[in-house]
Parts: sequence; C-alpha cells; structure tokens
Amino acid sequence: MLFKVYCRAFQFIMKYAAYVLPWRKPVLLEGEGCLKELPGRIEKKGIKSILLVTDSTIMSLGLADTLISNLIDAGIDTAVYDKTVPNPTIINIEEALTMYHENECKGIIAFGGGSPMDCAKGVGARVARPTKSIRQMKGLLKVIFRLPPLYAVATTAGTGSEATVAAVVVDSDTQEKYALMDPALIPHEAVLDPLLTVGLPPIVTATTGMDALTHAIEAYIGNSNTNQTRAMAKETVKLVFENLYKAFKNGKNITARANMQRAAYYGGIAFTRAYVGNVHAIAHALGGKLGIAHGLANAVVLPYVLDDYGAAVYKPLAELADLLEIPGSTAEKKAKALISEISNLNTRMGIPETLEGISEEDIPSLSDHAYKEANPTYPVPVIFEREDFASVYYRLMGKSGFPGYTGKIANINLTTSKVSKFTLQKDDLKNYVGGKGLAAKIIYSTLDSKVEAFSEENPIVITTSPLNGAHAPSSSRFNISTISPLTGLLVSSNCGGDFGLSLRRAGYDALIISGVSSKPKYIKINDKGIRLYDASSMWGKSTSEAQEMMGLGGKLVIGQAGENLVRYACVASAERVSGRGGVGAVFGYKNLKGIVADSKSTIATISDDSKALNIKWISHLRNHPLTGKQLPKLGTSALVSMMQYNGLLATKNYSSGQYKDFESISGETLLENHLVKNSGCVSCPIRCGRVVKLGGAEVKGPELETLGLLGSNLCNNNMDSIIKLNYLCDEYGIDTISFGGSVGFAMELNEKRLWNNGLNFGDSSSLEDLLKLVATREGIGNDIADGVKEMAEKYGGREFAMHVKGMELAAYDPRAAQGMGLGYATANRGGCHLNGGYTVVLEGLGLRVNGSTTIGKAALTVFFQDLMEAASAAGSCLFTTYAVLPAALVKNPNKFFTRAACFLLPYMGGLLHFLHNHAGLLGLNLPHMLPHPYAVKLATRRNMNIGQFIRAGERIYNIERLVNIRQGLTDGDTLPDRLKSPLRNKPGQKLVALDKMLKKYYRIRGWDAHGKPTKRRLKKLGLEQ
Amino acid sequence: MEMATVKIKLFGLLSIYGGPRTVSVQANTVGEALKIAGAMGVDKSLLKEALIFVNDRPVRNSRRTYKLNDGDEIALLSPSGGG
Repeated sequence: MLFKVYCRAFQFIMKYAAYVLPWRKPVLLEGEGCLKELPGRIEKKGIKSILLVTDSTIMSLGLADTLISNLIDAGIDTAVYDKTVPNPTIINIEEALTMYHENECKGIIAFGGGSPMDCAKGVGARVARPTKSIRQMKGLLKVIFRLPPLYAVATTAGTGSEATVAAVVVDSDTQEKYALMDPALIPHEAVLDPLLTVGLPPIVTATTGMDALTHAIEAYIGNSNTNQTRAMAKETVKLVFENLYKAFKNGKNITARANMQRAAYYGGIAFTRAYVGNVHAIAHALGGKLGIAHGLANAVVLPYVLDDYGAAVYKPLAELADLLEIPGSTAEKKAKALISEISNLNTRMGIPETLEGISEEDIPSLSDHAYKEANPTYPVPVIFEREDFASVYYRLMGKSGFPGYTGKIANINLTTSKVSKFTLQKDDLKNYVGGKGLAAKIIYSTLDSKVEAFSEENPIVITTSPLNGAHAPSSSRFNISTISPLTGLLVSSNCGGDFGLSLRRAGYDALIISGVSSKPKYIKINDKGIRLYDASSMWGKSTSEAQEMMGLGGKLVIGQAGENLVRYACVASAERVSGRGGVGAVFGYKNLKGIVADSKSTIATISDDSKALNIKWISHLRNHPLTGKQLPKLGTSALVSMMQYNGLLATKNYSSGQYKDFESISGETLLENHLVKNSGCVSCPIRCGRVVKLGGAEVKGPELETLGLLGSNLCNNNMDSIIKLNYLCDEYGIDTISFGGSVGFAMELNEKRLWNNGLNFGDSSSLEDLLKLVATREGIGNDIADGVKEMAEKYGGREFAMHVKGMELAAYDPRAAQGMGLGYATANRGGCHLNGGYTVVLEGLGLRVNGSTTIGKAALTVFFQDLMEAASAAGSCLFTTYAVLPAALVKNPNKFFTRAACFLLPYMGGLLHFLHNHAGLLGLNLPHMLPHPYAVKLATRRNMNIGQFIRAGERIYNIERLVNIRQGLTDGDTLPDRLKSPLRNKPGQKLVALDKMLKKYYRIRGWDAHGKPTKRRLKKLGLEQ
Repeated sequence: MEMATVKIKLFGLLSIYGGPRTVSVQANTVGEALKIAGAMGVDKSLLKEALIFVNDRPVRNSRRTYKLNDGDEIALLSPSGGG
C-alpha cells in the first residue's frame, strides 16, 4: 500500500519535473525516396566520417547499399557496424564505439528498426560520456551531454525510436534488459522513407505496427499526458487502425507504408514523454531473458493487460473507441469493444495469443524484472504487483489464469442445451479463493433479484478449489451451491467425493447449470467437450445404480428423492454426499439426473515447496489426537458418548440433551459390533469414514449426525436400523440430518395430537417404510418430504419446530453450548453446526471452554465461522481445522495449562474481536499452526497469509448474506422457542441466551440490528454495492 | 470398610484396549477405580488425562479421593471432534 503511494508520488514529481527538460522533436525528413537527401544534409554539417549502425539482415537485403554509396560519393567516409542483434547488447555498443573511434567518426546514422537505433543511441551516449559505462547510464537522466549528430533512418514502423529519449539495451552478463532515458538521446534528425519498409515481411510489418499501437495506447491511458502526447497518441491509433492491415496485406502500398511510419513516429513522440506501461515492462523482461522480439511480445500482451486494467481504463479506451467510431452504449462497452478490435487485428495478421519459450520456472524472475521496471517509473493506470505480472505470464504460456485454477468455467443451459464460457470478474479468484466462496460470488453477480428454488432462473453452481489436486491432505472437497428449496436462501453444500477432482482434470474450475431440461438428462464432460445425454433409463434408479450406469469418471447423481423434489434431497459423489439444503431437489427440478466428468489429464504440477508442506501437514494430522487417533479409529461416531455426558445429544426432538440408551448407538458399540474398517475421501490421511456390515454386504457406516438424528432424536436405540436407514438414505439421495429432524418433529406432532401420522418415538420398525414414502412423496411421506418448517405451517407446533431459516438443526443440543446456539442462529445456510462455526468443539468436545457462559462466544463464533469459510473455499475438509487446536492442549485436558487456557479463552473475546477486524495485523504465515493459507499461496503462486485468509472468509460470509437478503432474509437469525424460551421447557432447563450474544455478534461483524451488513463493513471488504 | 461395587465405563480411545468396555469393580474412590482400569490394561497415559463423569456429573481427574458409593457409574472419556 505504502509502496503504491510512493510510486504515485514519484510519478507526480516526474510529470511536472519533465516540463523543465529539453524536449525536442527530431528534424523530420519524410516522403517516398527522401533518403536520397540525407547525404547532402550530413555533408552540410561538415561531417567527413560517419558510423552507420545497422544489422546483418539489412546489409544482406542491401537496404543500406544506396545510402552508403551516396555517402561515399558525397565524400563522407562510412564505417559500417552491422553486428547489432535483435535486442542490442552492451557488447554491440562497445564494438560499434570502437569502430567509431578507430574511424574518427563525427556522427552516427542509425539504420534499421529499434535495435540498431538503440545501439546507435548507446554509442552516442558513450561518446558523450566517455568515462561512464552503459550500466552506469541506466535509468533516467544519466547522459545529459549532447550526443554527436545522430540520424535515425527507420526501416520499420516501428518502435518510434527515431523520436524517443530511450535506448533499450540488454546486459548480456545479467540478462537484464533495461532502458537509458534522457532527452539527450533523442536523434537530431529522423528519416521516414516508406520505400525502406516496402520489403518488410508481413509478420514484421504486423508486429512492429502493433508495437507502435502499444506505445500510443500505453501513453494515452497513462497518468502523465500533455495535450501534445494525447494528440500524438490519438493520431497513431487512428493511423494504425486505418493502415496497418493494408500494409500487412500489400507491402507495396506506399501510402499505407508511409502512414505506418508516421504512426510509429508519432507514437514515439507520445510515449517518450508520457511513458509506456506494464505491457512494455512485461515485454522487456521476455526480450531480455528469452530473446522474444519486442514488437511480437507487445502485440500479444496488450489485450491481456488492457483487460486486467478493468474499469481504470474504460474512459480513455472509450475515447479511443470514439475516435475509431467503434460503437457502444457505455464507456465500459466501448472499452471492451476496442480491446476486442485489437485482438481481432492481431488474429487477422496471424499474431498468436500465447508465446513460445516461456516455462514456469522463469515466471518468478520475469515477474520480478517487470515489476522493478514498471515501478515506480511508469505512470500506469493500475500498479501491478508481482503476482499480477505473473498472471499475465501464465496466460502467455497458454495456461489460463493462475496455477491452482484452470481458468475455465462452463455455463450449461439445460433449456437451450447450449454450453458457453463464463468469465469471472478480475480478482474474483483472489478475493473468493474457490469452492463456496467463488460460488457465492457467481450467484451474487448472476442473480439480480429474488429467485425461487424451483424455477428456471435458479442456477446450480458447482465449484472446485485451488487445493484440489495440489497434494494438500484432505483437500479434495468441492461445493454445490444453489437457492435451497428448504430455506429459499443460498445453500452451499460441501462434498468429499471425487467429482471435483474429475472436473478439474477435465479442465474446469466450475460449472454453472441454468435453465430446465424438458426430459431427464445427464451431462458428460470429457476431453471432447460437454454434452447432454438422455437419462430416461437412469431415472428412478438409486444413486449407486445411476453412478454405475454413467460409466467411468467422477460423478454426481441424484436418487429418487431428488427426482421427486424432496426438499432435502442430496447429491451423491462416489460414496460421499453433498448433503444439506436440498441441492438434489434442484437437480431433480431441472430434470438433471447427474453429471460425469472423465479425463485422462492430470492437474497441474506442484512445486517442491508444496510437497514439503504436504509431508509436514500429513504428519501433523497423524500426530494429533483428534485427526490422528479419534477420527480414524472411531470416526465422528465417537462423539455420541461425549455429547451424552456433556448434555449435547439431541434427544426426542430436542426435548433433552441426553439419551438413556445412548450406549446402543454409540461409536464404541459401532466399532465393537459392526465396524469392518475405516475409509476416507480421496487424498485424506485422516480417514474418518466407517465401513460396516449390513446383511452380507459392506456398506458405508453412519456418521455422528445420523446416529443422533435417526437415533437419540427419535428415541431409536436400534443400531441395525440406523445402519440400514443410513444406507437407504444414500441410495434414495436424502439428507439424513433433515430426514431425522423432520421425522422427529412429525413424531412430536403425533404425540401432541396435532397430526395423526402414526409415528412414535422409540418405534423404529416403521422407519424404513417411511423413508420410502418420503423419497417417493407418498402418503405421510409427502408432508415429511417438505421439512420441518413447512410441516409446522401446515400442522402447527412452531414452538418445537427445530429449524433455523428452514434448515433442520444438527445433532448438537445447543443449550449446553451457548456458542453453538449462536452458530445455529447465524449460519448463512440455516441451522448448520459447521457453517455456524462449530464452537461446540471448544465447548466440551475437544476442549473444555465453559459451555454455559456467553462470554466471548460471539467473538469465537465470528472468528471460527470466517476461518472455516476460508478453509472450505480453499478445498479443505473442516477436520483439518481441528488440528489447529494445539495437540498438547487437546491430549491433556487435565493439565493445568489446558484448564487455564480453557478458562481464559472466553475472556480473549476482545482480543479475537480486535484481531478479526484488523486481520491485516495477521499478515504472516505460520504453516505449523495453520497450514491452509500457506498451502493456497504455494498452490496459486499468489500472496496469501493468515490475515488475508480470514478476511477472505469474512468476505465470503458477507456476500452469502447479501444473497440471502436479496432472497428476502430479514431478522432471520433466530432459534426455535424450545431452545430459548422458558415457556416451553421443563423448569430449570438451560436455554440459549441468544439475544445477548447476537447483539455482540452483529457488532463484531459490523452488521446492523437486523443482521444486515453495513455499508462501512462492505466497503472494508471490497463489497460496495 | 466395605468396598463399593461400581461400574467403570470406558469410552473413546480408552475403550480400545482389547478388553471389556464396561466392568463392575470394587472401588471406594475415583483413584482406586482408575488404578484398577490401568491394571486391566487400559492405557495409563490416557487414564491420566481421561475426562471423568460419576453418575453423569463431571469430576476433576485430580480428585483421586472423590468418594464412590455402591452402584455408582464412572464414565471415562477422551476428547473428540467431528461434524
């Protein structure tokens, strides 16, 4: 930030200091055949011996022959130095200088394109300052003294070097390409004879012409213009667009050739005063390090950089568009149209969009050189950081966007069956990372008003993350976001299946699925492209059958529940699910049975640093008591007993936090009686998954949530039934949490005679049949399929309708963990424990922070919500964040330091609040403690530290909330009466003191009393509307 | 003095030691109960850091002299996390 201020201050001073410099325009000799007059002019000056600096190509083409013989005829001894290389080196200059002195020359003719001209200027500078080396004259105003008479004869159109203060040279020792800049270097006379350019091959015509255009545009959009430079730049742009293609197509078109020379010359006058910019910095580094021709580099790079500048250059580009009569209704449209025209011109002349010869290892040093050249000198519209330069270099390699991403997002319209490209806004990847963050941004930008879940306009956004395939442990997760049929709000539904990796391999960061198909379809994505196929034979099939039928690759499928629009239907990927919020129903509404992505490609290579971090991270996870012992051995099911003793186990529709038969459904029982082995998501060393016996088969075993919501919540002590139901829920494609919550509510409605549905607590015998009725929406299943909120609207019982914002709660009874209660109330997708910040892991499960106090809970909740938001967006499983809790504390609950830490943590609320809102102070990485931001930095080669990571999480949290507000959310951060009202509870039963915590929570978040982000906070996060 | 007959219930990592998860033992204090569990083969370092609940009430592990009565249940747990 400070650096940018310095740059702008420097440029400001330079701009105004420049007014006192001795600017001049060369004396111009122009016209067809005007070269004949040059010897006469030289002779009039009394010069008897002159050095002609050129290159071997020109000599072999004989372009200079006539001039040389005319000079000799005029009595002027002509020493010819023809060894200038395309990017002239200091060696060239010194050799030519030797020749100058040996022949006692009194003047220099630069004959050729930019290279001989720069070489000649270098020679002139050395003559003017014999005691200074070229290296010492690098930069601004290091020559000062008058050069010997310098005549610039242009054979290209061109660098404009005949009019400029700069000589760009390559230091062969250091491979640096840098500029000497001094008005003393401006040639004294310039010769523009179009006959010299007639023989230019088309590709040279094209690239040198685009070089001229780049000069003009970079000058024009920069911050250091004068009226003259603006006028000259405009003239150049007009001349190029009117003449370059003509000269390219027919080299003999003298008028076009002459106009192009004029264009180059004016461009030179413009940029020599108004400077060039980041395009040139990028091109110079390529020239110096890889020998890529200057004009070609500029031509290819120009559209990328103009694009990256975004709104900063709409106005000047629109003015140029007007000059060229390019239409557009807004400045933005005109600017984009102009950039498009530039790309078209490149394409028509065979100039590519990428450059050969760049390899990934070069990019850090290329970016560094470009950065140092541009800053602080060039008055660019947007100051580029090293990573901004790196981004361009990656695209020049043909790799879109940044590493860690493919740069491609496909929009699949099911109504029209058309596939199109979706373009993110600049910095979207930087600001939203990926996963749920990117999805929220896409949905926010795509929808501009409220949308119904079951509507054509509701998009399904499937996003991957930069750590996917980056060999970070437990980080292959992907996300499905849409407007939920359960809540009417944004739901982001995370999944540990392998679809995300397959999608990345197939070349896509994300998919956006819009519209509605008239018939059941599935989408296939492979190296041939994206196509829709008939899915009628798969319709009605279970998730495992449908996946089988889709063949090879990573898949997403829905089961019957999604087809029948069960409001909490899920999407399956291998044996994992995108469980919550009814994303499966939106698939079903769109008649989309599933998606399969199959590709033989691999995800981009990783650096050695990533590998080293990966090893350390895995070791850390393996040595941590939660991720290395409890989760692999017992899975999440270990929590049943822990929750029981802490009074956190939702029982009988949350009437209580303890279940007398908990041992029948505990993780220990599961391990002893049912477990075959553990399993894990792809790339995960934790492996918390369960494989259990069911009948003769081995199936996926239940998670904690399922044991709670289908067990204690229904007073169901039959583990076999829970295992079976878990299996069937997966096959039908139904969220076990919402199903359990809905059934529990239905049971209480029955018990209280509000709805006669025959379902009773403790009776598990009918649950399998009930599940089928729900999946097929038959009988009482039809009502239960709509979820708790809808059932309450229909049958009453609102006080014990256990949902928040329409989403059924997880298995934690928050009356014994105040922070979790706040989390449930505030989670953006509804009653979710994970999106809510999962403070319960601090409040009794992993650590023992006092669950009954509200002190510090708001700060802890905000902090962990945002941290987890960012971890999910990066692609990591949230269990990796548990390993952030120091192992020494978790393993030793009884030691003094642990008890002290747990006691003190609530009182650190103020500090956490401060750090969260001043995340800039956390601008560092501590990979041993929190590997995620560092891993993202290594995977994307872009800056990311702890502070930025948390800020990104906060930004994502806020943009999700903005989507929700647009969807109609106001004052939605509540809890069901049962959890906070004394009226509906047993005397003495604990309650969640929500209102108190909520006030604090809003204050920390910078939201108003209705849960709406304030303008000030949005501005801080870069989310001004 | 008569020894109280109490139930020790092992949960979490403590339960994975190759022996029964629930045992009936003779012990008058928490300390004695823990000793017996150790003798049964339960990991001693885990026992030292076990979370203890006597009849659902949390009891600090260091209170080894906490008195047990006939029919009491002592639950021993280890920290956990999940989803």
